[in-house]
Amino acid sequence: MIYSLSEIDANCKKAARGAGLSWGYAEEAGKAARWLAAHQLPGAALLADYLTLRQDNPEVYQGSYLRCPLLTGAALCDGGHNDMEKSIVLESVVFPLLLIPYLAQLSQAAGTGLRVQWPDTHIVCIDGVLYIKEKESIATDEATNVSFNWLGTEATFSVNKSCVQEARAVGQFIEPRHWNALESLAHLTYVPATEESRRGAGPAA
Amino acid sequence: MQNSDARIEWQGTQFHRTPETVMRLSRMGSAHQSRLSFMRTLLRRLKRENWQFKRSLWEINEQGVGRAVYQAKGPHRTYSLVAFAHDLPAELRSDRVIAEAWDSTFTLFDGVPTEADLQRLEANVPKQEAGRISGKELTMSRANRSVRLFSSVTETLARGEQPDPDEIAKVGYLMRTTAVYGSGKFGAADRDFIQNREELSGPFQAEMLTVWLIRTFTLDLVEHAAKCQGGEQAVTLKPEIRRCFGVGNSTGLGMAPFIVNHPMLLNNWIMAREEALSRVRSQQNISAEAFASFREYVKRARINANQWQSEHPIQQPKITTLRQELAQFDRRLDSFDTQQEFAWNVLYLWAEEHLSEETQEQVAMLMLEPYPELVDGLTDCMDANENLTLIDARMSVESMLDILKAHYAWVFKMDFSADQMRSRFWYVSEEKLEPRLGERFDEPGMELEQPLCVAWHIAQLAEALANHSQEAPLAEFLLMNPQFRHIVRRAQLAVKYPYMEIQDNLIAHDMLPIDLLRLKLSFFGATRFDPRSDRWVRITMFQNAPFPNELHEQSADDWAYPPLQVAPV
Repeated sequence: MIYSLSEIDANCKKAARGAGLSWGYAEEAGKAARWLAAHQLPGAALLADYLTLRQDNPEVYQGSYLRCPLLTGAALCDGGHNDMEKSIVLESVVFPLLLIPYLAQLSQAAGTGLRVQWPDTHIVCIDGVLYIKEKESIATDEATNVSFNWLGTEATFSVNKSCVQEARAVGQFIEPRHWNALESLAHLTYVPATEESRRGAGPAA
Repeated sequence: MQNSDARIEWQGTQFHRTPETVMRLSRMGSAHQSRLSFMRTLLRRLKRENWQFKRSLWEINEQGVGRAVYQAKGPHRTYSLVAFAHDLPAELRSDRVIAEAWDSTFTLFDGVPTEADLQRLEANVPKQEAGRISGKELTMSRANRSVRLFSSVTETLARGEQPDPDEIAKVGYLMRTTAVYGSGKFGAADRDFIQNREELSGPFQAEMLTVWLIRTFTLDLVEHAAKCQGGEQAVTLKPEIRRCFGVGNSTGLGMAPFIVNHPMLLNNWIMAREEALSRVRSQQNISAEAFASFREYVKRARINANQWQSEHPIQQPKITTLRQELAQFDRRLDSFDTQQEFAWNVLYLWAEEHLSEETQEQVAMLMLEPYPELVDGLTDCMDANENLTLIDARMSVESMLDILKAHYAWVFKMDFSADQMRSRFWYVSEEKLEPRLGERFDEPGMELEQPLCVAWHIAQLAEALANHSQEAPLAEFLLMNPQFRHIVRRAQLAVKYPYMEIQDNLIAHDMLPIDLLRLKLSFFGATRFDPRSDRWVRITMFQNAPFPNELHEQSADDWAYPPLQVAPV
């Protein structure tokens, strides 16, 4: 089914919260999925798979070896942009595409271009515009070494216009299994209704 | 996801009311519509831009069942209200969000629908939340009849007579909407998709257009029913009586979290209103025309107060006081010296000192009426870019604490160790995913609390910050205390958005959710607030407004108070 960006945002936020992330991380995860959906990239689908794995295998996915793309993204945003142009390597990031919205936001706020690479994938972001130069493993779920570097404020990186991934304000098709997985996690944030709570909440039936 | 807002910290003048004054629940619970309200903004635009309207489809049978389409054509685009009328058994009629059937259901289509679109919509819109709409639709809504009034108006018209305006005034509408969904809900077009269209860039413009066209449908439907019943004998409503009907609305707790969850938007609404009032208060002189106009609006507001009915134990005495105080205020105007300098300000300060909050807010909004040139342009400042902002985590823990001390001083006066300060908790109910308010110490679920208890979270954050190394970067604190991530982001916004926080405790034992509802609904332009409990309220929308076929001959913005000739005070 096709879901609107705001539905994707809301369901992913609730799912992240249901999977045990704090409200602050959860709202960022929702916006990350929305940003990826606007760029026609599989944010909600990857988040559904990732949050489910994280929930089912906490010893692996919440341990010290694998890097969570959501918490890593938030930590990078908190650290802010630095002017160094040397490449930074983040080891063992799972579902690395989920990291891109965080880095893109930081890049746009700092007014600097950004290059992110992992094996068979090469993404550039300049002035909020996303260029995907290579994408064979863009949706990988594996632990991946991700390198990124800032391209400076006057990035004149030569990009092929044909690889521009434009943001559009339209919804995205999401497989039922992914949407259902997100809803199952979101469901963990709901409280069963009681007669007591219904009373007075609205007009009587 | 960007942080591009470079506004500097805001400083009010002596004519601005402070956040400490206006951002209190009791005052929000006394809010009134004004020139800035979204219904009035919409009708001013439709008239200014010479929009054209037509009922392009009317396939309603003798039982009142079928479909209709109303088109609104502007300079750049056409929007169509698609309406489905149903035969609803009385036992299924419920205004609750948990209802599953309604008298009528609606969607606002982006453009002119084809037959295929109508068939797709007919398979989905009547199911509301259980159906799906698409990016071609902007809103989805439903309405139930006010059964008694609908029947009596039908029978009266069928006999060839006009209904009694006093009877209409007691209810004010033939149908009331129980939800108007927009902004991507149930598959509808996202706000991002339409926000660059001039006609829809302001808040809730698509929703207001939907409701205004629904109003026309409800009147057409009652006249259709009368014709079916009375045949040749039946008459249609006289225009001046027809305009007495608005659209009702029942709003429950579901709307309350909105203004807490949209702090930048709330700030921009309140700031526009407060800026408008300060512009009037700072006028050095009052012209004779402006004062005469104001006096007329005061008289019309008195009619409105006299017609306003509520049996709610809090609202009812407020209305009584409003009637008395408006009369007292009106008498005072007889001898008021309009030649003195800053006379509006003198008048406002007198009201602030002598009148209840309900009347103060009414008087303040009346003062905006004579000044379209000072006020109306501010409607362009009432939307918000609500992208999630980056946290400035490179500041020190001490600097973050300083922000709290400067912008949340009101929180530090609260003592959350007392149970009654934490008696309630906001949660999302499993049933229809409706926001609800629970009793923390008596009901299950407090571990699933929604983060609407801003004051309590700020208090907890302040305590945790105070116990952390003051020189440490905030990033370190957040890594160790991720539970504060959302409230840190919020509190950093408060530096730029002085009117974004409700300066009260939203989980206190005596908090009234209807105060939150009234604030939001007043910005819509609602009138006749009639709380039915502390958690839900009935209102009227577009009462006395022109209909689409009258917009070109009638004023687009002279309807928000009843006309003088109907019932002189």
